[in-house]
Amino acid sequence: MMKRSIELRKRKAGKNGVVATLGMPEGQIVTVARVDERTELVSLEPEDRVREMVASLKRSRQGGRHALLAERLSGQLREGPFPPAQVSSPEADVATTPVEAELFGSRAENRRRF
Amino acid sequence: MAWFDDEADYYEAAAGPLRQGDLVLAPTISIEPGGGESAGVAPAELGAERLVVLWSAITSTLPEAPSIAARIRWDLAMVLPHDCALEKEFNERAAQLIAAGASEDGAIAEASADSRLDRHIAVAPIRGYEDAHLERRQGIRNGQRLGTFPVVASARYLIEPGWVDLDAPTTVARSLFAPAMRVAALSSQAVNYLRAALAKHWAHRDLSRAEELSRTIGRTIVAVHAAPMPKDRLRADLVLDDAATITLEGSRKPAAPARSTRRTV
Repeated sequence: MMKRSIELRKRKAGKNGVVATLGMPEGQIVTVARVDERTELVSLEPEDRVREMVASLKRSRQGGRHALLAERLSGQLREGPFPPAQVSSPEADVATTPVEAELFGSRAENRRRF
Repeated sequence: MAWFDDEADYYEAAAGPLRQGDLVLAPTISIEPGGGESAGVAPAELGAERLVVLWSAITSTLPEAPSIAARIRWDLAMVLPHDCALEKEFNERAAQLIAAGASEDGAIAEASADSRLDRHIAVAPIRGYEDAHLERRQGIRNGQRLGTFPVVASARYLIEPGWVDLDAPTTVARSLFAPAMRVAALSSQAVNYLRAALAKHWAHRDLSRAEELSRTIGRTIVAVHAAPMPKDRLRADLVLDDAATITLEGSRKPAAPARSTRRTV
């Protein structure tokens, strides 16, 4: 059986985006638009086939920052309470005195013009 | 400063409630004029940044707001407020409950469960050095650059080197945070340096000049008194922490060149 190839055309969109148009041997077209991790699909293809096409696209960023940390955190829940704080005496809310204010009295000169 | 290079001096394990200097996963935002993308699925990588449109203006006249977009980053960020500020309303509520007859444990439980208390936490984004101008990077690493605070690389906590951008804080709802989103905490020593960096950047910039003078003379300046002098002349008394005084006198007229003991040909 002769293997028919899928035609792939790509064009850049924005800084990190790629719009890929895949021409299927059956004559159908799948358009996959990807900007960073966002993937928007415009297709009437079966869902599993579209997923396959998306998976075939190369990721624009490999790993991101703190990739090892991200791997360690992978799968952990984004919910849950912190341990409660210990009670300490409430702060005394006291008006700022002129002497305290004077400590912050220096003003900048030669500022940028609005 | 050598300690900035040693993760054992810089970090400690995170425990208990959120504290000043904690390194957390958080969204940070800056508002920009103009348009952007529509909202999409959440990023799955740290360091991801998007420009998302918030609203679009129809006219170009007030009082209508301009078109704006939010530049949103998903990455490590540092908790900025002092611990007392993080739990100010909690402590006040707990004290009220205890005064009304509740046990301390009961007061803590009830105040902790009240989501209206201390709702907001300011965090600042932690950026990589590639986001800083080349000529500023060394100053940031050394803790010298105002408006920044260095973040030390950590093999233990899997954190890449970077810097806290104190110029770009974001207010985040406390309820967004969970224990798994806190990855490390600062040591007591590092928190002290963070507080100094915050004070200098937000309120007290010229403190650095006083510090320079203090380092130069080897004592802490506790007060400065200027004496009335004729025009173009200045006299200032620097009061030191050992009660000694250094008097500075100056003039706008250029000083005579220093006399050299070496003969010039």
